[in-house]
Amino acid sequence: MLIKHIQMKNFRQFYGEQNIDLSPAKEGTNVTVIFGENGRGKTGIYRALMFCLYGERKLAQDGEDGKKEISLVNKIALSEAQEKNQEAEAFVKVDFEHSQEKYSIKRSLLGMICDGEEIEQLGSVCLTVTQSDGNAMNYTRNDEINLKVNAILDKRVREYFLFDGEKIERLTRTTRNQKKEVEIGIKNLLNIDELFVAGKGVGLCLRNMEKRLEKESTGEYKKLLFELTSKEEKQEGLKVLLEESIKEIAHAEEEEKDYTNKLSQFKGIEQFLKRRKELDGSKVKICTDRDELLKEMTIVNDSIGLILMETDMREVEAQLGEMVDNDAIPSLIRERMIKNILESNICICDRKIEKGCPEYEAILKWKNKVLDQQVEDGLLDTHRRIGITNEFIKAQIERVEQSLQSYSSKSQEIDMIESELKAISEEIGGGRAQNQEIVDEDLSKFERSRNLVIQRIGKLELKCEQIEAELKVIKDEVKVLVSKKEELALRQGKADLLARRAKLVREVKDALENIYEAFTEEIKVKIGTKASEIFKNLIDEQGKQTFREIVVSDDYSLQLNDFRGKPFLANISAGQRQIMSISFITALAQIAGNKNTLELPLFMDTPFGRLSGEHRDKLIENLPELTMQWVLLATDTEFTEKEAKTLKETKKWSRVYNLNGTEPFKTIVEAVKISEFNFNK
Amino acid sequence: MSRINELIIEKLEQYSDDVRTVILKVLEIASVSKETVISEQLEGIVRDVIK
Repeated sequence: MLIKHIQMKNFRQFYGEQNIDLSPAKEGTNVTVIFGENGRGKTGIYRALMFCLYGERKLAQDGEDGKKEISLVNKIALSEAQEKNQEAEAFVKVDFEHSQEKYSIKRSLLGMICDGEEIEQLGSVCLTVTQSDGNAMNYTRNDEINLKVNAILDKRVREYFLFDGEKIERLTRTTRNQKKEVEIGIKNLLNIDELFVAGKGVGLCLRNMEKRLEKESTGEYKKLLFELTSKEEKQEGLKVLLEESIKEIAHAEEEEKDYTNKLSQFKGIEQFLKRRKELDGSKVKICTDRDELLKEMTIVNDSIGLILMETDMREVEAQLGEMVDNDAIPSLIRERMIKNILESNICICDRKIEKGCPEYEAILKWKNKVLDQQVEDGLLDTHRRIGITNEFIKAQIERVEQSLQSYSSKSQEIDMIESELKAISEEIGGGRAQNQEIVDEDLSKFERSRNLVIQRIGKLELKCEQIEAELKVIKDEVKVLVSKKEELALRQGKADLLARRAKLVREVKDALENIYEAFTEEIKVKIGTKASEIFKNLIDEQGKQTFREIVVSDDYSLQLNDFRGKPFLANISAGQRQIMSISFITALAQIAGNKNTLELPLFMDTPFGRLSGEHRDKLIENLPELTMQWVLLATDTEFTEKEAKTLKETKKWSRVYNLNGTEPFKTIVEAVKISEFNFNK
Repeated sequence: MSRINELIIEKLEQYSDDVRTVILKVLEIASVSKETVISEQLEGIVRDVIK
């Protein structure tokens, strides 16, 4: 499968029609880089591919975010369609080549908003296969299309080639389910399904023949045949039970993952609730302080009249002050003294002053000017009192101003707390999560449930081990019974047609089993050797000295041995696990392709997320040679000028796209010349 | 030829003509049929080989 072109219309973040041509743009190149910030739609492209090829609406990674439906139709297109009272159409079209045939598959879906809910439904699908002689065939039935696509890249192994770089390290986990995944990967990719199916068909035929033979037989031979068919039936039953138990483990592991996610979500909520409690406490305290301030401010209510008269009072004080300053009050000569002079007709200098003389007249004029002493004293007292009152008013005003300032800052603090509380409420959602007690109750409930699931997995693992041990015993018993039966048949001269035919079918069954075992053993060794070789090229210098080889164990688990040949997998980092998984996948592709690299693309989302600089360089230098087509969906932090320089040097890179987002849900795919690509964008 | 086919041919050399004949026919059927069909048709194949 060599992907040539991806076209998306109104799919996820991609509004309108967007196109991507993948390398090779020229002979010898096979690398395409799709560059975009988080949320621009890199995973959307991967999702588009999965949707178009397999009709998948969810990715494996979505499972970790709960069971939420993923909306595929672009939100802007949906809103526009709603305004016109229409449905929004989205589609993905992928053109690819495989074994000299051209494939074009287009899958659409329709979306609409109904009562505020987004509803999506699958639309039409069409696959056109054009053979090398130009003859074309159209397929519109889902089952036919699935069969065709799965024959090229089996759905069960697709995630080996179209994967999230950060999650691919799961292949190195040693759970039973993981081992099963590796086993399925090897068997399906190597096209040994036929051998497997043939083996099962032959086994079924043999059991039927032996049952008939048993009916027709007598004595010890019949007894032996009965024992043999019973054992073989038990063997088949156990095999089915083993498969079911493995599936049950996978299911339980998913359940455990679900509980773990819920618990971590609840732990997140718990943090929020703790913060909310703190904020609530602070809010109560600040509100109390603010109320105190209000109370304080009401104390000045009694003086409010005075405060309102502040300007007038200051003016009066100023005027009286001016009078005092100008010596208008108190007068230099007091009224009583003038009266005494005028009555005694004697001046203070003891000179006689006669009535009508100019001095007498002058003193009389003074008398008229001078205020009554009581009035004067009153004015002086008023001036003093107004001064005191004005000081009081000033203090009151300052107090009010200070209180108002504190009140305003407390109000601001409360606003901030309330906005943080609102954000917390939005974050933890409504309903049960709002209540600490309920969260605690749910937390312990989830913890209990998760522990129960873990216990169940443990029991199932034990059950599988017991079944496997029992199967081993039965296999040996069957072998003994078969040879006893053959011996007895020979001794008793049992050579009828049915017995001879059954004998032949058993030989066929054994032969198929032997071939199957020989092949898988041979392949395990080959994949291990190839993966080790690739791993040595991809791992950094220190790793090269630490690790010796990757081994595909008998039980299909992947193991990494250190330089002494001892298992070391448990001690390696997430980045090293990623390198190990990629080595395994590329080795699988190389071995499955026999002498050529398997015709499959390597589509990597967040390719370098967990890798250090040296590992990135090695991956960039080596992967273009190990794969047919390499598509990297990267962010600016993982694909910088440094990575670009290394990639350019491989001379395998011919296309780069920028995912530009001017506004949410409006990503535009822009083809850029490698030489003009701006990494700082 | 894929490695599995090479291996089948290689391994089949150590079996009798009858086993070889039956296996090749069974594999042919297995590429397009399920195990129940294989089982039914195998009886016919074996009948033809051992008459």
